[in-house]
Amino acid sequence: MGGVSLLVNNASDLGETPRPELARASLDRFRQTLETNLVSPLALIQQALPQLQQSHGLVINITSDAGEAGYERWGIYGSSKAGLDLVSKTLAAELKPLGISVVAVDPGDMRTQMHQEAFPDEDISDRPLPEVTLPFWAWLIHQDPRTVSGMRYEAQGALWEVPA
Amino acid sequence: MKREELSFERPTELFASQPPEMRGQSRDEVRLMVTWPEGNNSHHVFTDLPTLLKQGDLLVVNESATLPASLPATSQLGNIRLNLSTRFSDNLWIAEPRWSVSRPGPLPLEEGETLQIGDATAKLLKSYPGIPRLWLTQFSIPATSLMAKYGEPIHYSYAPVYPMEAYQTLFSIFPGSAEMPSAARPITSRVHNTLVAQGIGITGLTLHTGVSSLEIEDEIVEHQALYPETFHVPAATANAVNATRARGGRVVAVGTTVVRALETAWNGSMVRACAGSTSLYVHPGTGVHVVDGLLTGLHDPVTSHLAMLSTLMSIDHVRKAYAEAVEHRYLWHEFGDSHLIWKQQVESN
Repeated sequence: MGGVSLLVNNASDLGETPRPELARASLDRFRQTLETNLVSPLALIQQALPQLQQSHGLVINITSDAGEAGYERWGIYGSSKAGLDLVSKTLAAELKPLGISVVAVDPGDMRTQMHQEAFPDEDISDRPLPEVTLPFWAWLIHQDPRTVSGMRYEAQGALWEVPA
Repeated sequence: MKREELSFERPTELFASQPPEMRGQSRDEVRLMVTWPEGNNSHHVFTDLPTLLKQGDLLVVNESATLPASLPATSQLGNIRLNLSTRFSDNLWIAEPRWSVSRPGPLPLEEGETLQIGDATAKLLKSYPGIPRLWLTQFSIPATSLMAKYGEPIHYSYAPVYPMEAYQTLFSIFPGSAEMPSAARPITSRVHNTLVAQGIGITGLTLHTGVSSLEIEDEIVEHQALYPETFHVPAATANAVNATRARGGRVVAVGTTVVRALETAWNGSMVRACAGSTSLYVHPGTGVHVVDGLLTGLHDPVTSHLAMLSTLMSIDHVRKAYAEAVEHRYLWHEFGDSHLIWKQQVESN
């Protein structure tokens, strides 16, 4: 096995379904969601640190607009992603001296199993398939990681920005 | 907006097949139609441009230079052309396989198929989501070296290929465009000097153009998928645009590419220094915020360019201007005539 040069923290837990209001949410289930969405990515990054340092690698943390918006009934999942956004930004600053880069990517709404679970009663066939984000990934992995470190991207957005 | 609203007729003999300098004219002797804020049109020679602008106005030009982006390639279908569109890295591009210069795709190519270009290869990784004629394409060597060896400027059936020089403008500095950002083509040194002497500012940004868009296929114009283009709005340019707006001068985009870049860099109150990759679609639903005018060419029916034009003036006035252009025998495409559009003043602004 070669070293790790790219770590994508994609796995996430939507939390309780149907999605509860915060006032009535199960605290145990909340802790579990935070463990999966916020603590585990950091654990993986810590594990991979020596190899990422050697490869001047890139960490991609998958985030969500729910982490910024404050949508009703998205508080559990959303706060875990808000936390992950801050982890991404902080790590980008802290790991810069080691040559490791960190970005956050919001893939946007897509026709996935998790999206269906989030909207159990909705027909989600109008959402695009995940392949809609392929150009973004192709673009991102060809950027110099140190240039984009600390950025938060929307894969389906109209602008993929780099420092001017 | 419905696609049929962007449809119009114009005879194919109005496609410019030769640059003006090969028709015995200077580049700046093409014609210039002006569409005024009231929707009426007037007709000029391009060298009149300085007289149509005022001291304190600012022209924003695209400083991208054109690449020899059209490559001969061999596939299982025989000899084809591969037109490069957008660079993601030296070896990874969005590219358009075509049957030939005159015959577009999409071609019946398989995902993972490898094209041969000289002794290098180009692997078709994945067709572009929503735009099946374009492919994410991986080259075995940097595409710039393939272009240097085999490339020629992208051209289409209405015009033969001309020397590379014909596809550059006075402002072509940074190589990267698949096709010439042609709006500035008629700005010669003498026009430039007259503009500067009159106190009309000229500033630059970069947006590397991809291959021409084809007709919009969706019935709803706004649903068309657009692919990204690499751009850079430098801080000095953002400052010049903001200062011009602040003192009441007019900002004139030279080319639709400049509108796309400036609107991408618009933050709701001003233009900021900004770089990256933009797929922004400027259409009547988004409006335009930065520019007061657009200097451009004459565009094909049912294209996203026309959707952009109809953010500056009503679609009725677009149609009226284009009808007049046909009536006055204006020439279309990159070697053709010019069109200066002043934004119509609607309720706000």
